[in-house]
Amino acid sequence: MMKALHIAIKDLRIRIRDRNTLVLMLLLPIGLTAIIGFAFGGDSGISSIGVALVGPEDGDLLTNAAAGLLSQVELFDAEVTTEDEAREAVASGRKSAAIVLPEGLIDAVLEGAPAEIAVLQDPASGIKARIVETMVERFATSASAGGIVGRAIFDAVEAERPITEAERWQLTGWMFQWMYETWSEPAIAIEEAEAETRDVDVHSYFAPSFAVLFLLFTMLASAKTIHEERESGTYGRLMASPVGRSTFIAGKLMGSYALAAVQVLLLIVLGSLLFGIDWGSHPVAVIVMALVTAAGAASLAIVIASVARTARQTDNVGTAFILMMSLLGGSMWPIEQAPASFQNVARFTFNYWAHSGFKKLVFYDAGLAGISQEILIILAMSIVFFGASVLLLSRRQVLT
Amino acid sequence: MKKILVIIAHNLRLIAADRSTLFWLLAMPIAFTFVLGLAFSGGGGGGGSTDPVRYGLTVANLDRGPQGEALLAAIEAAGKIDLLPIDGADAGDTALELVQKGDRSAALVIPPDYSERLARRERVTLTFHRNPERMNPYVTRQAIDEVLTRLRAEGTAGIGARTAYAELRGEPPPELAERLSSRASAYVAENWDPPSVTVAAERLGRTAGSDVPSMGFNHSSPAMALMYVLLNGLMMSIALVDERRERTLARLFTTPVARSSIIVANLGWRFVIGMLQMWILIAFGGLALGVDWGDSPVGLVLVTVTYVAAVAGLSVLLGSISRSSRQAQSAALVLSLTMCALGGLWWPLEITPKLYQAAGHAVPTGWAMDAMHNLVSRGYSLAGVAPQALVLALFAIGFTVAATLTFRHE
Repeated sequence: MMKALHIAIKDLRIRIRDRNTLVLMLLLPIGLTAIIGFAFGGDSGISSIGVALVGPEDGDLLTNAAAGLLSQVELFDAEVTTEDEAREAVASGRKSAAIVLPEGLIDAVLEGAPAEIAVLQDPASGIKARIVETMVERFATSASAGGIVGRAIFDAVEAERPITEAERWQLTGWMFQWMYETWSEPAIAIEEAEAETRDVDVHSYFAPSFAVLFLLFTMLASAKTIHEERESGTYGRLMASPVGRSTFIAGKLMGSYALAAVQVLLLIVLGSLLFGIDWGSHPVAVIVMALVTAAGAASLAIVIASVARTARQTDNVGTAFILMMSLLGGSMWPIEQAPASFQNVARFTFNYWAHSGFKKLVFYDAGLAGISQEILIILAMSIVFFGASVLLLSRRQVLT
Repeated sequence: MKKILVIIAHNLRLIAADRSTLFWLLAMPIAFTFVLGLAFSGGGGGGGSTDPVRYGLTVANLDRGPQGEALLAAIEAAGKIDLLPIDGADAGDTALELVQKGDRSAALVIPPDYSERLARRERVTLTFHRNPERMNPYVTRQAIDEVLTRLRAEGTAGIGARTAYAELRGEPPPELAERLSSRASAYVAENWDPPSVTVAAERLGRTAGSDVPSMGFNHSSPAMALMYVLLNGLMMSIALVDERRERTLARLFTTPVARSSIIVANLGWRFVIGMLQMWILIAFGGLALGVDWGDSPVGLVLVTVTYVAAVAGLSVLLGSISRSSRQAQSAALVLSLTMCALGGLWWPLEITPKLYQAAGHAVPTGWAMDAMHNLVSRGYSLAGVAPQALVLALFAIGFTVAATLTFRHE
C-alpha cells in the first residue's frame, strides 16, 4: 500500500510541477469560460440590430409612425431609406434586415383588405434577421387582430340599428382610444412567473462544462504515463525493484484520482473567486460531486489507456473519444437546446451526468438527495471503467 | 527547389503512413461536422432534418369548466408544441416544482375560475412558469400567445360591442348586451383567417428561400473545416520540436541544404497537408451533406490558400519558439481553441457585443469565417472576398516572417 502511495505522490508531484499540465488543468477551462462570458455575459449583450425601413410612396405619415415604433425598441438601429438602398445594405450585410411597408397597409388594417409587409434578410444573419422577422410578425398579428375587432364591433352595433355618418365618426374616434387602452389589458392575460431558480449567469453554466471537459484531458495525459513509463524504460526498472505490477497500477490510479480531485476542487474555488459562481448552499454536496466526478474521469481515462497500445495511440484515440463525448454530452454547448432524440443519446455519456449534477447544485441549489441520481450513475460508470481497465491491463499484457 | 520538394515529399510520406494522423485529419472533423449539423438541424444546407424542434409544455388545467380544455386543444391543434398534462388538485404546485427543479422548462397553469370568468366576460389571468436557464420557454410562450391572440380578440370584440353601443345609445339591456357580444365574438371567429396583414420574409443572396444559415451544415461544415485545419496545423508544430530534439534538424543543417530551403520546406508540407485536409472536408460537405460552397470556386481557393498559409506560418513559428513538445502541444491547444471561440467558429459573431466582434477580427479565424459567409451565403465573387483574403495573406506573411526569424535547429 505504501509503495502504491509513493508512486501516486511521485506522479502527482510531477504533474503539478509541469507548467503544461497546469495550462490544461486550469488555464484553458478558465480562459474559455472567460471568453464565453465576454461573448454572452456582461451588460453589453448582443450588439444592436441594423434595420432599414422602406415606406410606401406618399406614405410619409405611416413611415414616420413605423420609424417611431422601431426607435422605441432599444435593440434596433433603424434608418429610413429606399428599397434599392435597403436591398444593397442587407445583401452586403451592412444591415441585418429591411422592413418594406406596402401600399394600403392602413386600409388593410381598417377594412380587412390584404397587405403584405416584406422583411428582407441578410443571408449570413441567422439570428438578428430572425429577430426582426419575429417582431414584424407580432406587429402584423396585432394589427390584423385590432382591425378585425374594430370591424366586429361595427358589425354588431350596426346589426341592431344602422349607424349614421356622424355616429360612425364618433364611434371611430372612441374606438381608437378604447382599443389602445384595452389592448394593453387583454381579456385573457398571462402572468409570467420566473421559477425561483438561482441568480446565475453564463459563467455558471459553462464553468462546470469546461471543468469536466478539461478534467478528462488532464486525466488522459495522466493515464498516458502508463505507456510512457514502459516506453522510456522506467517501468522496467521499477519492476526490477520489489514493486509488483498490481502495486504499480494501484499507484497510477491513485495518482490520477488525486490529480483529478485537485483539479476539480481548484476549478470550483477559482470559479467562485474569478467569476463569482455561487455553487449553492450545500458544500458537502459540492465536494461529493467533485470527488465522484474526479473518480469517473480518472477511471474513464485509465480505461482508454488500457485499450491503447502506445502513448501516442492513447493521445489520439483518447482525444477523439473525449471530444466526441463532450460534444454529445453537452460540455461544449447547451444541450438543452438540442432535439429530444439527441438528448437521449447524451444520457449515455459521462459528461452529461457530471454536467447535470453540477447544474443542479448551481442552478437549483440541490443538496445530496437532489444529485443522488447523478452520483449513483457516475459511481456505477467508475466501477465499470475501473474493472475494465484492471482486466485489460492485466490480460492484454499492456505492461510487459 | 528540388531539395525543398524532397523534404516536403518525405514529410508527406511520414504523415500518410500514420493511420492515427489520418484519423485526426479527416475522421474527427467529419464526425464533428455531422454531429453538430444534426444537433442544430432545421435548415441551412442539405442533409439535416428540416423538421422544427418541438418543445414540451407542462400544463396544469385547474379549470372547472370546458374553456380550459378548449384552450389546450387549440394550443395542441396549432401543432408547434407538445403538451405534458399534470392531473390532480395540486397540479399547479407540482408544475411549479417541476420547473423549479429543472425537470421541465415551462409550465402553464389555467386557474379554476377560467371558464366562469370568460362566461362573465371578465378579465382572467393564466400563469406561465418559466425556467430562466432555458431558451425553450420563449418558443412555448410564443405558441401560447399565437392561440391567445385569437381568443383575446374574440373576448375583446364581445366587450367592445357592448361598450360601443353604450357609448352611442346608452347602456344596453342585458339581453341586447349578450346579443351584441355574441355577434361580435362570432364575427371574429368566422373572419379570423386569413389575417389581413401578413409578413413575407425574403432571404437575399444565394441562399434565397433557404432556412436560417447559422444552423445546420451550412454553418457547421465551413466552421469545422476551419477549426480542424487550425487545430491540426498548430499541433503539427510538435513535429518541429521533435525534429530538434531528435537532432534530425541539426543533421539536415550539416547537409548542403540552405536554411531558407529548410524553412520553406517546413512551411510547404504543412501547407500541403492543410490544403488537402481543407479540400477533402469541403468535398465531404458538398457531396455528403449537401453544403453549397458558393458560386466562386476561385474565391474559395483564394480564401483557403491564404488561411492555410497563415496556419502553416503560425505552426512553424510555434514549433520554433516552443522548448518541448509538451509546451508546443499546450500552446497549440490554447491558441487554436481561443481563436476558434473568438473568430465565430463555435457561435455566430453577430450575436456577440461589438468589442467581442473586434477581438474576433484580431485573429485569422474571424476573417476566414467572414469570407466563408460571403461565399456560401451571400454568393460573392472573387472581388467580394478579396478584402478578407488580403488580411489573411497579411497574417500569413507576418507569421512566416516571425517563424523565419525564430527558426533554429538547436
